[in-house]
Amino acid sequence: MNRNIYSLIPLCLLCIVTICSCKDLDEAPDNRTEIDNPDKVSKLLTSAYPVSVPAVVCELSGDNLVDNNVCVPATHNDPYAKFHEQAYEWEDIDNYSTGEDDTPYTIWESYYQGIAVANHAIEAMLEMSKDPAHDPELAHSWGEAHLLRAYLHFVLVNVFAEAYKDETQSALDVGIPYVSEVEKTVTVDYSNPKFRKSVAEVYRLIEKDILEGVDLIDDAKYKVPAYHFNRNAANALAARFYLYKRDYEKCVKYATDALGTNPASSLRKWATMSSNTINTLLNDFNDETAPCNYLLQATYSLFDRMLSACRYAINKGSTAEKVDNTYNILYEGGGPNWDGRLKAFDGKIFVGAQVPSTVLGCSACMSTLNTPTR
Amino acid sequence: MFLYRRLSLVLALLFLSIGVAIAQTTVSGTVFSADDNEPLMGANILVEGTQIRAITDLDGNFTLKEVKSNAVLVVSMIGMRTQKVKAKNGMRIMLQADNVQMTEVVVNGQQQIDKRLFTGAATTVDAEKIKLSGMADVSRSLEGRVAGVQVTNVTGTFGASPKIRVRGATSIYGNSKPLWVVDGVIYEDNVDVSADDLASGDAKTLISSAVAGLNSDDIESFTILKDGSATSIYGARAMGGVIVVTTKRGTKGRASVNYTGELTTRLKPSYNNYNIMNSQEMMGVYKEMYDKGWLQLDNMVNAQNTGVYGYMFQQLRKYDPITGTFGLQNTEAARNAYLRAAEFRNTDWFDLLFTNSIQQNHSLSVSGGTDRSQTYFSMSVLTDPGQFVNRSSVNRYTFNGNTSYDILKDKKGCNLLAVKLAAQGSYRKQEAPGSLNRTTDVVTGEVKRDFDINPFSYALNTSRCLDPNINYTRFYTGFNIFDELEYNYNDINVTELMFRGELEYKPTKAWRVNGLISSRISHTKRQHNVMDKANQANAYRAGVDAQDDNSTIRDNNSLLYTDRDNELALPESILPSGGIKYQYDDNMRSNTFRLMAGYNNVFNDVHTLNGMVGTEYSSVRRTATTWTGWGYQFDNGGITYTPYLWLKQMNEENTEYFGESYTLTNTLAYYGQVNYNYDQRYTLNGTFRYEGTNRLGKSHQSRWLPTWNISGSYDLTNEKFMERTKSWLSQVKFRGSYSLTADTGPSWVTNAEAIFMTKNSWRPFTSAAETQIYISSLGNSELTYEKKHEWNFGVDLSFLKERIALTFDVYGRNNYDLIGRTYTQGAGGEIAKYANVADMESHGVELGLSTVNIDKAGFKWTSDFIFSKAKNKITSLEVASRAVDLVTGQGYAIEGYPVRSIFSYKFAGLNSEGLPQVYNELGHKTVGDVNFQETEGLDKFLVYEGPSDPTFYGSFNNTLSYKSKNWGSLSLDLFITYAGGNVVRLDPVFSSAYSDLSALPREFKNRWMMAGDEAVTTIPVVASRNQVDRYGSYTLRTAYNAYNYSTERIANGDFIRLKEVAVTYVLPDEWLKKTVFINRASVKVAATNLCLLYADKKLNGQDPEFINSGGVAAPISKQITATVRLGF
Repeated sequence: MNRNIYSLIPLCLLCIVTICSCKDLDEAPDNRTEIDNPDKVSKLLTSAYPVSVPAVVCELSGDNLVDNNVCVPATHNDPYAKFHEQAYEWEDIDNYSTGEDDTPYTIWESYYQGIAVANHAIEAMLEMSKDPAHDPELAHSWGEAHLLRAYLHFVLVNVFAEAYKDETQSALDVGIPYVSEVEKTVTVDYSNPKFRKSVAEVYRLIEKDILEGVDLIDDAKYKVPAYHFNRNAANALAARFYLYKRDYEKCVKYATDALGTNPASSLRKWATMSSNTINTLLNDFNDETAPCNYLLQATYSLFDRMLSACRYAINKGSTAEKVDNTYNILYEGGGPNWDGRLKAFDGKIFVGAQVPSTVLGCSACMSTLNTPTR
Repeated sequence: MFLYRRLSLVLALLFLSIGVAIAQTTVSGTVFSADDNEPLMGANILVEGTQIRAITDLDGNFTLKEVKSNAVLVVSMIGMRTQKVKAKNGMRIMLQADNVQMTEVVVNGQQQIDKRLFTGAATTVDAEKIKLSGMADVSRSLEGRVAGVQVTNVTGTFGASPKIRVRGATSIYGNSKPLWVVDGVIYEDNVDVSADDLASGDAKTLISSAVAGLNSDDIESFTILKDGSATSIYGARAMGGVIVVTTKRGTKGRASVNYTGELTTRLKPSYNNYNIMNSQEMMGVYKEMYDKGWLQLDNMVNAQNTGVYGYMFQQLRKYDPITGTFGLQNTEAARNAYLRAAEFRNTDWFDLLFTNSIQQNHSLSVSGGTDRSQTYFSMSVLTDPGQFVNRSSVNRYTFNGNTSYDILKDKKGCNLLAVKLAAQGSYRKQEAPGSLNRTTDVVTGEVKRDFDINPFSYALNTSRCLDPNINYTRFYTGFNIFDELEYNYNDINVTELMFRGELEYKPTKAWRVNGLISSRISHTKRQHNVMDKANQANAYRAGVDAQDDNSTIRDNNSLLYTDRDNELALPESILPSGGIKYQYDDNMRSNTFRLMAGYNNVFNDVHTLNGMVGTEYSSVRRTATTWTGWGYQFDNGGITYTPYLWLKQMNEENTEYFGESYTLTNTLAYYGQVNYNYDQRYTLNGTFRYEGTNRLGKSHQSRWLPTWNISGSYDLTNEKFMERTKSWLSQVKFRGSYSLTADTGPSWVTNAEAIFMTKNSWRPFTSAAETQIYISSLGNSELTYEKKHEWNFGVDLSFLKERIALTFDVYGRNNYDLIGRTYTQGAGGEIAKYANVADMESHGVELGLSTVNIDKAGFKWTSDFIFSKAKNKITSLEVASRAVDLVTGQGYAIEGYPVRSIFSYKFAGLNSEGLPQVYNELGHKTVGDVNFQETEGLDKFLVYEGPSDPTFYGSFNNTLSYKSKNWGSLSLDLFITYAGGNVVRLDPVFSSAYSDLSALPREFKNRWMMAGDEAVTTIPVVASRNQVDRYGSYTLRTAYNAYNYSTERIANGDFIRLKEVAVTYVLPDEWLKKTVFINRASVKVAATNLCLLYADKKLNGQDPEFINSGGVAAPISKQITATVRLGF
């Protein structure tokens, strides 16, 4: 009898240990954070703005550039020659390595990453409140998240799918996956019609998100409004969207809202900018307090290398000459002379035009532009 | 009357004797321990000459049937001296205590298991037999000693862990490191250093060894648990095997004091072993470079790094107003005289940078005990001035004590309650040359380390034309290796403490309850001091310093800062005075609580059943803190002056100058084991463990993990049909096991739920700065442990009365659910993800053979031969590495090949100008048109060279000894280790531009010199400036790097090393009796790491084990050690 009791003691102790230790397995394994208050939601949304921009592939596929067929003998592994040619020739762009800037891989990943961040924020907000759109602390983030989702899908559908034609024709064009759920497993099949919609359907969903968020924006809640969807940027996005959709009435309405009563005050002061040195020019262009900068996006891009290779340029003209076996570079960027001042081509400055108005703020870009001519 | 009585007595005696002589009776008895009269359970009784056996039960009783009269019983038990007694019914046998022989038990850290009942693959070695003289880190002594355990000394610096693999790798991206268990307590690493990083030479490796604080004299034995049967007890962390260390204990009734003193001196490396050009040959190459447009005044005088020629040009311009002359006259005669002096200088850098200093290691231990308590206490001191001329000293102090006490005994004298306490601690103060981390330029393939002053790497790579007393130029400012070692160094302090308490309670004879609490703390402080006069500090002022104003350097020096807000700003220094103090603190706290109940019983003399059930909770917390002290004035009493420009640059570059991060791992586990043995012939064993951790996040699905093992063994020796063979075949035992074990995988994959981290947004101006929370990793609800199924089959044989002992194991492993990369559609935000998508398989054999060749008249010769083979292959890995990962360093992972495989670019000969060509990823022959970033079809255009880990390894040991009563005993040990089956990348010495600082190998003598040479040589030309302009400097750099990683620059890693030759002399007892207090004395002289008996000639002196990565890496030195041992 005594012996049996003694044998039970270890089992009792085991049970005690179990109860004590189970909750310790919930402790965080490192200094990661959780999204559990409105302040963290808005900080999370700060990271939703992509660090990539489709400027290079869009510019190469567009009308502005001309192939001069003369260049330093960039061997095919130079990062700025391989896929540029494919983009210019409207071929499938696949001649690049994973992780290279400005490639379709990077654009796809960073824009969908922003969408994933927006969806995580929306999910977190729904856990904090039953009606985040009317919650005074979450409403502005709710608006920003929906605008982000709309904007990022808007860029993606224009880069990777057909342009919008009209309601019936675009319903037949295959679009992109419209993602409004957080991905929680290793692989999800986005080609499933549940996700991948026609271009018309994608536009419909974008419109829904824009309308959900455009009225909820509150500039006062942003620390640096120019890097977020402020009122002007939100209205500008809506205006641009309706422009693409050819709903001109709504376009005019939102454009008027964005420009306000005195549009002239919102314009960039080109006249005073063109005589400054390169550094001040850059600083002024990227100034987050300038009223003309509706939305700024800090990105990594090798846009400038596309021009410094001297092959694609704004004008047709010799940009490099070949003497014996050596190439002498005459002009960089085609046409304009880089002697420390960005002299415009015919008085107009060319800096790549992209789908929405963004500014290139990569360190690689800036350092190259800072270097004096060879 | 009288007659009748006598007759009946005689008749009675006759009847009795007949009965005794003819009848087979039942014999029963009881076995006791002579020390404390405790009945002994589990003692073996064997009728000599037969197979009749029994085991004593809980009360020490046994019964044998059909025993002949006059039979002799052999009584044996672990820890007791075997006795032979005449069989007699109702007998009482008293067994004397004896030391537990290493070969009788298997220690798995939680219990001692009788070897006869053990069914797994484990090897135990005596710590004293394997100790390598002069090596203070105990992990190094395992090299070659145990079949299946591969120890590669990638660097010899103290504190750096060697790469240890038990049966090869078990994970692709994870660690595969074995678990260290010391007396039942798991010794975690202070910092998590992956196997790839161990060879990097970064200063973090100096605190990577978990056991650097253990004094080798305190260790009794090592047991390595290799297969699943042993590791199922330890769960997730034991996937790579377990090394159980048992420290010495006090012994009952005998007090002793032991002293061990070791003096070690190291030999300097010598140019005879390497194939480097002397100063005359080097000057010949410089002259060729001069003719090709290099080393001219215009590009040398303000260049970043210059040597002989640069100094000459600087002296030509240096005007001394007092004497009115220049440093060197600008005449052809003066210049030639200077160059001629350099030509014959032949500086011996090894001689100047290394010393023959003496390392001392003294330890003193006291052990003793009564029959109720035993105590062991020891302390040791290690002082090592270092093998470099400066900044390699190590001082280590350790203490270790344990005591056990029997608190309660019951009425019969059996132990009821016993307590054990132990404490162990060490303090280490170490210096190392200052070093930053290594970086790889993934575009050109160059691997470099800024401001590297590693003396070994400097001696190997620096031209012998240089004068050791002169300041040459590095990073635009004066540099001298000896001064730099003085002003730029790492100061490391490591403190470790371990406390352990155990309580054992035996409520009944069959049951026991065991509780253990332990806590281990380690604090590491590493300071990298870059003092005011250091070259690294002066580099931040080069070109703008008041005495050194030079606008060309100012515009080229990348360490200067140009204020972005001021458009007219010139580059300025962010460190106008003083130096830099980098501080890194790594702290670890590890707590364990364990409770276990064990059952042990014998039924019917033949059935042995034991089992245990337990629970364990452990918590490991690691904190890492970094601080940068910028502008610390070492020469000015430690005042700090931090210029605001530095802070401005930090903000603009988004770098943090201080930070703290932590990781926390909590584990809760339940485990049980059942072991059944029938008649000492058949054994069956089952282990089960259920464990949960917090590492995989809050998801309950993937948190818990079951692991299990089934094994069995069949001991043929005790079968009846083996009786006849007992004279020459004394043991045949077959073992087999099958298990499922698992591991949490690489420590940086913990995303069962999405991981959010904070950082500063990249903004061009500080006015626009914002912090953001970003998604570091999407959530993966399917994340789970990496798993492994393993089967093991082994046989233990023993011949000729144990003169020949053979152990053979063969195993196969199937690793699945391994972490690997996979490509997804990416619409979730991540295209390439880490998930459990990879598989791998491995297999191998292990052979251990020990023979006693001669044992006659005091002369003995024994041999031990160990052979292990381990091969693995990745069977499924969707996303491979990049080309640069596969060709550099230790290679990387790709499907269809071993876990770490080295590939090479296919060499396509030299072109007509002598430039190296390779076949690139398109199959074209090219000079420099190579994309190191390629990830597709790698094994189509790259040539597979081999695995970077050896596939077979082992050792051969011979001991000859002669014992005589009058003269003592003398023995000679010869220990040879070997390994092979792998490949080693030769050092990347070729470059498109050489400086007048670097030394070149003698192979350069055969370089391409003129047209036509490409048909006879494969050594590329020294490129000319014209070629660099024509091809492009980026193109040529890539071409020469591709050559460095081509099929031309690879060698076999096979080697045979004479690891240790030792002569030991033990003084005879008779002499010692004359001194009253000395009981034992011995002297040993050993030469360690003497030479390589065989290595691939292509290596030209490069050590196949050591990875020369600069930083704090150092090769294992050749050393001679004298050891004195005294026992009082």
